[in-house]
Amino acid sequence: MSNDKLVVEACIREERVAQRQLYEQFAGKLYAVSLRYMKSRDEAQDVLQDAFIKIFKNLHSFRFDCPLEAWLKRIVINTALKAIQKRGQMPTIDIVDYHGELDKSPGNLGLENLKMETLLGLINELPEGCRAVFNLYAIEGFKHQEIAEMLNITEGTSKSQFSRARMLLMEKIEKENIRLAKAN
Amino acid sequence: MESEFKNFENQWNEAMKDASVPPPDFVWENIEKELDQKKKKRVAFLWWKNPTLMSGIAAALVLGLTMLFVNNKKSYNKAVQVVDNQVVNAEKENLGTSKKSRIFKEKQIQINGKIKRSEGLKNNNLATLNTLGHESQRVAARNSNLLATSKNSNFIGERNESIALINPPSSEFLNVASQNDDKKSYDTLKEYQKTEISKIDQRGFRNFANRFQPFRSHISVDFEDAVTEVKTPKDKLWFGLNSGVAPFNPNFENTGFTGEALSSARNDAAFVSKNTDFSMSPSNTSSIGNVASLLPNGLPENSFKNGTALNIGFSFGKKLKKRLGVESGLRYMQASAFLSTNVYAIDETTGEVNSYFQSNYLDKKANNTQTVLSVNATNKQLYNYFNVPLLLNYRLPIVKNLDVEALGGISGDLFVLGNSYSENTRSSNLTAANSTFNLLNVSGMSGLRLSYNINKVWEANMGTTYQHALISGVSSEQNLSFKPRTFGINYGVRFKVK
Repeated sequence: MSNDKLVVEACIREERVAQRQLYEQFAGKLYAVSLRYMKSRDEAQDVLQDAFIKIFKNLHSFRFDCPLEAWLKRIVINTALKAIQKRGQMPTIDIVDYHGELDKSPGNLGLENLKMETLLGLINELPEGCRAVFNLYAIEGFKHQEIAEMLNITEGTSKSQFSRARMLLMEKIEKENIRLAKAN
Repeated sequence: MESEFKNFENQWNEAMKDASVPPPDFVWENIEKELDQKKKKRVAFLWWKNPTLMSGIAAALVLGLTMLFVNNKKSYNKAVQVVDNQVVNAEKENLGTSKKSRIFKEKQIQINGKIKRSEGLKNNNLATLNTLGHESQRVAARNSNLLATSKNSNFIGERNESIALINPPSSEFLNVASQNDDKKSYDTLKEYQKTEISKIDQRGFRNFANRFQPFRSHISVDFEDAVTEVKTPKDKLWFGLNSGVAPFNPNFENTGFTGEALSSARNDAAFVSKNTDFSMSPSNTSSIGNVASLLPNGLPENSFKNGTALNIGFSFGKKLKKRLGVESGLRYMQASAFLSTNVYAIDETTGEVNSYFQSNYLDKKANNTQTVLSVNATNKQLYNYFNVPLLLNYRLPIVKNLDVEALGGISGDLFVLGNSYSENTRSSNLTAANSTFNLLNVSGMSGLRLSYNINKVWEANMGTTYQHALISGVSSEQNLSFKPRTFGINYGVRFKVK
């Protein structure tokens, strides 16, 4: 029996030691996910807290048909999206607005030179809905059609938001790289 | 177009793949606190979580109720009536003056004292306890001092529960953990366990102190939806085969039977006297013509005993919501019951003998019969029905793969065939056409069922079901009602369709 399965089954029996172990094992990665979606750390902590409550309550429905981490991550993402939706900050801008930006090739962004805090900071500075689409498309790997269904927006809106996020991020990364070069 | 940005996406994906940021410590503390709160709310229903205990309770329920069914109903009713009368009388007295209320209050306090010392309880009869129980509720509602005492005792109980709620890790969990190659992980586990034990010792203080810690406000999210989205939409429809066995109580009520049978037998006394060699007549032929001497115990007898109901059928259902579902199906049920009677109806034309009960109450045809009272014999009766239940079910998970379902609804019952025979009577078939049995009947159903997910598509279930006819199953102009009821075990398998 794998260690994950063992921990999950103990969590289902509501054994606090196992629940703590599961938390310790995944909290860091899930907090990073939450930070990518939420504007502030306080909100990200709230989402993480809510997500773990849901996780512990619904672990019995996890059938081990996918990696545990992916399942946990999906719950955090859904919780974050629900929180954003509750505040009515989902994207509404149509594809026409940013049609011209889709053809540019990004080249090497040099992300490896930037610290994790900086990268998270760059994502956090994106407008709310734009940030959600960027996270779902670029990092989570969903298709625009899937994102449109998840966020209840059109596929065009998803594409335009991603295009906008991409443009904003490239500008910010360029500035950051210049700042780093000057500092060195 | 999407592929053009692959480089951009890949770079970000690569950069964030192993991103990990340790959350602040208070996040776990808040989670732990919330988990504790949820547990406290559910403490009254914790037994649901224990399959062994639940199985025991279910088995005890089935056994207990089966015994109730099997036991002589009359004696039970008498006992209940006696107690009820005592309670009613006592309640009437209690509704008197406030002076009486004070006396009862004093009695209650005295009784409470006695209970605390585990003495005196045996000496109180049931009626007195009921009386004091009713009075206690009224007094408690008015008396704030008693309420305060009650609250204090609850508070102590709650604190004890909070200690008990910290479940120790199971031996299985620790054993396998100890075999794990990852010794570091195991050491951390043991270390944490020690910490937990030390925390438990200080739990009383911590709980008190935590009440003054500001609790983080958190974003309200739709919990059900958030989790539902993660799951794939499946198990919407299911089909199943099921069977069951239960004690069957025909629950016939015919209050006028004794008078009618006696009257009919006296009217037909001449017939009895003319048939001195009839096998069912009493052996003492010297007193032929004296009806009283023909009555074996002085009175006509007609009592029913429970039999067994067996059912088999198929069912199907659909999920309406996450936990709520609806189900139906078709079930064939054969039930038996036993009629013990000493009153018979003899067809003058054919010479056939039936029980007076059947001839007078169940047969539709106008019988040219004579009534005799004779030796007691037992008629075995069979009832065949097709049931079409329509039930709502509400499902709650207990542990992994094991759910409990509460069921409730109605059943349309089609009377197919009845049969009755004994050593003294002929075997006769009864249908809705030749008897007073109604073709269509309605009964109420409820029950509890445990469902075990064998794999993704197959599920086994077992549970108890109570069924009681809502309207009489016979259309009799006389004082007869037939509202059969069963309470037994059902079991089956299901195939879930994606």
